[in-house]
Amino acid sequence: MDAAELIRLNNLQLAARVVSDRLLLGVHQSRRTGMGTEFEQYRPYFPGDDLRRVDWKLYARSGRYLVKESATESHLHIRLILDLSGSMNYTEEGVSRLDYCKVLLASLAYMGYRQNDPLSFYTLKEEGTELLVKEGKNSFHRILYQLEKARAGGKGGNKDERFPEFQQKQKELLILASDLLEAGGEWVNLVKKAASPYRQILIFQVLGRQETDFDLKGFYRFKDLETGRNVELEAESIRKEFRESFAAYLAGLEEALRLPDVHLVRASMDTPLAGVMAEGLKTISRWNS
Amino acid sequence: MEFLNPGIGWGLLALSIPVVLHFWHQKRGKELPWAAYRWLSGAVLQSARGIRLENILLLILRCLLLALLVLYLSEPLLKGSEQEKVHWVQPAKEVVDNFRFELEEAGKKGEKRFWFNGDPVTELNAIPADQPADLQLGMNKAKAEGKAEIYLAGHDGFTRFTKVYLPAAYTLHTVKSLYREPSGQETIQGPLKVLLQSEKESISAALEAITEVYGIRFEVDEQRKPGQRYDLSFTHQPDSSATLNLVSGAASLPVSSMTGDERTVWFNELLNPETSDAVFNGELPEIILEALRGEVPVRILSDRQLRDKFAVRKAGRTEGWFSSVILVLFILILGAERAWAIHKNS
Repeated sequence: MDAAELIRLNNLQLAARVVSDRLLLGVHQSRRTGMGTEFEQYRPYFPGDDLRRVDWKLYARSGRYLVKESATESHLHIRLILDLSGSMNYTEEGVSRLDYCKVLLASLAYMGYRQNDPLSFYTLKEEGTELLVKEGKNSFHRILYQLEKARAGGKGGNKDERFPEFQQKQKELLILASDLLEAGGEWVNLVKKAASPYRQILIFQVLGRQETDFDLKGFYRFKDLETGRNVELEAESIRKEFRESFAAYLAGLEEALRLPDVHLVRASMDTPLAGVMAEGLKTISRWNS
Repeated sequence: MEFLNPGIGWGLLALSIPVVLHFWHQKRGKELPWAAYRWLSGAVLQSARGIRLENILLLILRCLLLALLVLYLSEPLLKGSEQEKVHWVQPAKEVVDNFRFELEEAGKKGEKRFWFNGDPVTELNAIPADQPADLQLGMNKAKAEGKAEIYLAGHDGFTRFTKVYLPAAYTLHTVKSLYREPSGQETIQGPLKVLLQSEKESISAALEAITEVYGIRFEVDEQRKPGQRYDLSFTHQPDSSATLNLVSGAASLPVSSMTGDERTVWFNELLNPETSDAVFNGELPEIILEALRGEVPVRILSDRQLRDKFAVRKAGRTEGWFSSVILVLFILILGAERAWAIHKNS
């Protein structure tokens, strides 16, 4: 099932499950072993190990001191941030950027939910950042509900505002779904402010095929989704220039976001969601190991 | 307000061009909601297509420009009363008959009517006899200024000057056909000796036509035989020995060699269908016949040639202050339009 079909399902919960089931691997596997509920392996006793962890029944059978081990359960606070600026309404072949991002975030939330990770959800609007779902009971379902309700519009968010909750020194994962189409580097500033040694930042930059390749033909009236201004242009006459300036912008963005613990994943709106997610999660599992 | 060139008023239709362009420009272009607008607008300036009529002010300015241009070209005259009509009538029965209605109407309106000799027309049927009446001399004599309506036959027997100068604009009314009732008895007796040295093809065709219709036979020599006297000669140089000379291509001859004797008929042009309207229209046999009868020792003029015989004397007065005002206004608005357009683009 490709992205367009999933989005047409209009059922975020199902879509999230379909996408996530394709990635049976967890979001973050723990490599450390220790106390836990699920048995993983036995290892020989070393001096210093807690005697209570020696499996005495096994000792009775085998005469060897073996320690029971299980994977430690790690809990990672996942904060999901959805950009709701007007440019998110950009639509290509029936798929809007907002819908694509919604399914993407829902799928990621589902994976976190399966692992009992605390989830919270924010949106970025013209007025600023808004906390819609706090971590806690039923947060996944509340996130799905808020995602379905979310409507994009207006100009970009006020990126100078700090996320108050972001100041906590607790290990967490920040997932941002946006197009990062902003003048003056507001996004870079925001990410720089949010970056901290305790936080992983995973940015999904979702772009349309026409935005990156720009092979439109003919005469169009381009209407700015954020300001409503419009301009009439012959697509062919500006193709080269647009491609160059846009590629330069993307390169500059990539350069600016090359920060520790910041991962930028660029996705096209016609690529399957599972692949995009897998690419994003790979960067995080690198971090976990 | 009157216009010297009212025909140019149709040029006002050109006003529709910017308007149509404006709406055409607005209509084209599929609307495309676009997120990466900032990277687009950087390219806008360079790709602006020709004249962009984006805003109404510019449209109005440009329409105004066109309207002023048309107004200037059509030379408006504020004092319309000055331009009364003066009718000049060639004293010839065919002309009077042909334009009787127009002339009578003019008489009823009380407009001035003159014969070509300068005498006022009192009774249309009383055609003055002192022919040929010279239009230029008549105009000088009558001293009637105003828009000249000239009624004449399409030949050059109305003046001895190369050009007739008129005080103001004029309109020509020509009797197109010089057809005459054939006289009951054909007086010309054949066979006639003909020397044919100019435009052989068209002339011999005309001669054949005459033979066919009137039964006049021609004996045509293409080379001059010594001692032979010719009744009719077609040459580029007048031939003193012939009874009647039809000299074509006379435009290239010196004026001094063109004498006014009755034995010579001059044609400015060559008698080819390509060069002569009369030949093209098949009037050559008639011209030859009339020359033989001694009736019209004048040249038939085409419309263009006839127009060339007239010119408006440019007096400083005709360039009115109104035209200059329009011109200044035009330049001012042009400047404003340019300034605005450049301001918009930058």
